[in-house]
Amino acid sequence: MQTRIGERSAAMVLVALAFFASGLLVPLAAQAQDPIEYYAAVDRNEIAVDETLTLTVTLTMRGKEPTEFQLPTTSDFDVISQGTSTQSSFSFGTGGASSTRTRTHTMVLRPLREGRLAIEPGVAVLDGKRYQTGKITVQVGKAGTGRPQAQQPLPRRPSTPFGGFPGFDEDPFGRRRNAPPPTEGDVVLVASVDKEEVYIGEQVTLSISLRSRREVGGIPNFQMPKFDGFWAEDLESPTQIEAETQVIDGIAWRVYHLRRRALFPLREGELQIDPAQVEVEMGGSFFARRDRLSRSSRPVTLRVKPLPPGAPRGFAPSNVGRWELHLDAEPTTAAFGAPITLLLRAEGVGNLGSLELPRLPAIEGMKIFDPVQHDEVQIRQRRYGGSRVHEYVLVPQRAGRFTIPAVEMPFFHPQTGRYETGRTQPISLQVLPGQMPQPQGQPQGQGRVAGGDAPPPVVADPGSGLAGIRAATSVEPRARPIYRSSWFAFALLLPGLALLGAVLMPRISAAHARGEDGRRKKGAGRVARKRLAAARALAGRGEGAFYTELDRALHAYLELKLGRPTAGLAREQLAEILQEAGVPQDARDALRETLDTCDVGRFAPGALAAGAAATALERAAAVIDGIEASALGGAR
Amino acid sequence: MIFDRAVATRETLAGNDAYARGDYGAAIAAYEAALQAGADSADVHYNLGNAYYRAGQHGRSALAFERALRRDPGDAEAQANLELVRSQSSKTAVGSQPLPFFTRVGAATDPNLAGAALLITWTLGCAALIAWLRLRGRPLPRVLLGVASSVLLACAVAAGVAVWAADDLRTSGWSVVIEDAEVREAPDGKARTSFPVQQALALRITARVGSYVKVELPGGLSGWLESSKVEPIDPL
Repeated sequence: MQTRIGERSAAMVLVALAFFASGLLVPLAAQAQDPIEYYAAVDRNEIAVDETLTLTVTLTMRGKEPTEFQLPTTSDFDVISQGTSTQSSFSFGTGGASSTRTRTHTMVLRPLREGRLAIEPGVAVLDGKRYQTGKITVQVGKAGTGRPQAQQPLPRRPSTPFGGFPGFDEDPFGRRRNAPPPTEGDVVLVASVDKEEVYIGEQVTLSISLRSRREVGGIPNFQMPKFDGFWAEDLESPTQIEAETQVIDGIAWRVYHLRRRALFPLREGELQIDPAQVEVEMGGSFFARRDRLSRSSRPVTLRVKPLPPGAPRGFAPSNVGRWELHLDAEPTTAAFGAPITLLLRAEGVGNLGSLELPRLPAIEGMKIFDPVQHDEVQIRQRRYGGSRVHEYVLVPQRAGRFTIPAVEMPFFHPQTGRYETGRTQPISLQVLPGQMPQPQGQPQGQGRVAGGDAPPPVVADPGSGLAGIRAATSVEPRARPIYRSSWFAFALLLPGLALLGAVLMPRISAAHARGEDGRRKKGAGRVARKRLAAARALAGRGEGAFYTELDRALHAYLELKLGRPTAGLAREQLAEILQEAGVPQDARDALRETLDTCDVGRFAPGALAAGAAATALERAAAVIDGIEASALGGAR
Repeated sequence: MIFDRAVATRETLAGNDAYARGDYGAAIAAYEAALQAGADSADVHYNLGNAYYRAGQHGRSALAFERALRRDPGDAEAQANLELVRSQSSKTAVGSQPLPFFTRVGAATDPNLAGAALLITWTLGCAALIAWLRLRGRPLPRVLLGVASSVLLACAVAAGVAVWAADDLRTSGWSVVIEDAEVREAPDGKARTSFPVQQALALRITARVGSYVKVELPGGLSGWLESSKVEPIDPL
């Protein structure tokens, strides 16, 4: 398949024609646009120990060389010979000019032993991205057991600017230059499933693809198998088929995905998916005929398990998957006689086509019409599903409050292997009274209004707009409102009193404390005068007793006024305290003189002149008057 | 009035049976007997309202629904039926005007619920305030207590207003016209007619002279009406 140097001139002549043809014939295969492609292939996967095999390693570069490059390695083979060839090409396209270089390493290998031998992947690194060839395994048998290499599949040809254009491998007269006709193993139709053991009703994804080691010119005919025993839904039916390069068991393939179907088994046991059939055109151009091949896929057998026992009540056997149930009403408040739309919606993954939604229960006083069904298919990550909606029209037969009870839909969840239940929330509807309605049919059924907070059951009043009477009538005596109870006012008063107490108590205590002090100060003058009178009575008994009593009376007075003992204080100290307390100078001086006189009288009897006692008494009385008239006495 | 549960239950069931048979007169008699036996639930008044409506006595029907709503202000069916009765009765110019806001608050208030809310929020609010007064030197708890007491006391005020409105509604003479009648300028059958009133209309009795009561409509109209034509919703 490689383009020889000698044929390049002829090839260049065809470039213009190929460009023209590309405008008319869109190639099916799209080349990968990675900056490099790196793959390896062997000419045979089974050889005898006395044979050789050819390993072809191809590196296609669209721009830079890889920064790191390593050929496939093996310790199980001897490299008998090795060669390298390089091709460069330049092409113009809609995206501008581009160049491609392809370097091919060809190695002839001889196995060192029998058994399953491996060739480790080669690695190329460009711009930090790692590319590697697939790991190749070769079954090596005993000597002399090898087969003649009559029709060996060819390695994928290197990419060229003409790659993918039909007919490039032929000359202008339809003769192939170096491409042998495709063999059975070059083009394969593959039917595969994502799982081989499923429950009844569980999705199986069937993928049908064409693998080719040669360019595919077209697919004129494709026939899907019949799916007996399955419910089939389309997942993918591409209108433009594009190739994807894959390395499978070390061999590079072009893979064309043709169809993908979601299959839901309808019965248990072993079910077979029949073969699909395809006709493929290989190569071909304006100037060359195409080879037409027919291929069939292998039948696929599935083991279908029955659903486990223990299905909940109300379970429909076709409800397999994962579903959520919703209930919406519009409007929730309606005039009497006006219709209300109720949407019961199941959403999820599974066989939407066979999904059975639960019936809405009969609601007393509400006429329910048969639902209209809508489906919306959604395919997410190749799982079939979507939403199914039952749209009900409800016509109230009376005014009042209704409750649409919760609706349940049990289903089997194949991933968990358990039965689960989708459940809606109850919906409360309010129907307002209106004019006498047009005659309606009889209610669909008699029953009770459901719901925990629903009013007592009612006897319907059809046709009047009047909410019916309550059959379960509560019969209770008249109760006085609690705020009229005798205890209520008291109970209300207690916290108020507690609050009042909390606010007032500190103030009362402070005021009380202030009152004690005031009374004490206020009474000091009166007490002092009484003691002066007592001292006067002592005057006849001797100077010592008189002056002692006078001194005590003055200090007792000062102690009451100042709130502290004064007997031990020096005269200067006492004078300062009195000055700070607002006692005037003359009163302070009189006090000092009186106390000095008392000291003389107490400690030096007879030293004082006659009449000194009377003078001392007068001065003491003046001191008291002076202090009482001062700020300390409370006069200011 | 002594509550006789056995009689009240028996008469109520008899009323339900009669109603189901379509014998609305017998149903009315049975429900009234249940009320006489001391039953005073919203359900009995509600059923009685239905029976009166079926019997064509829309005034008494409205009265019964009003009484049902006094006992259960959240009774949507009673409210719906009352509106139905009024919509079919008041077709003249003089009809129900929108009630004052305070009156509507009272009508929508469950007195027991509001009373309980008042007691609880007031007690808790006072407790929080006392704690706030006593707690000194700890700023964060004090702030929290201050906020809590403010919110609780505000709720207590709101509940108190609701209780007041509910009580005011029940003691301010709201009544229902049970027969179509004419409101006069004076408490005298010979006095000039001010305006007619239709059955099921709600109005307020403000004074009573002989066999006449002075009535006042929500819109402000007032006059004298024969006392036999009107029935208080909350009899004393």
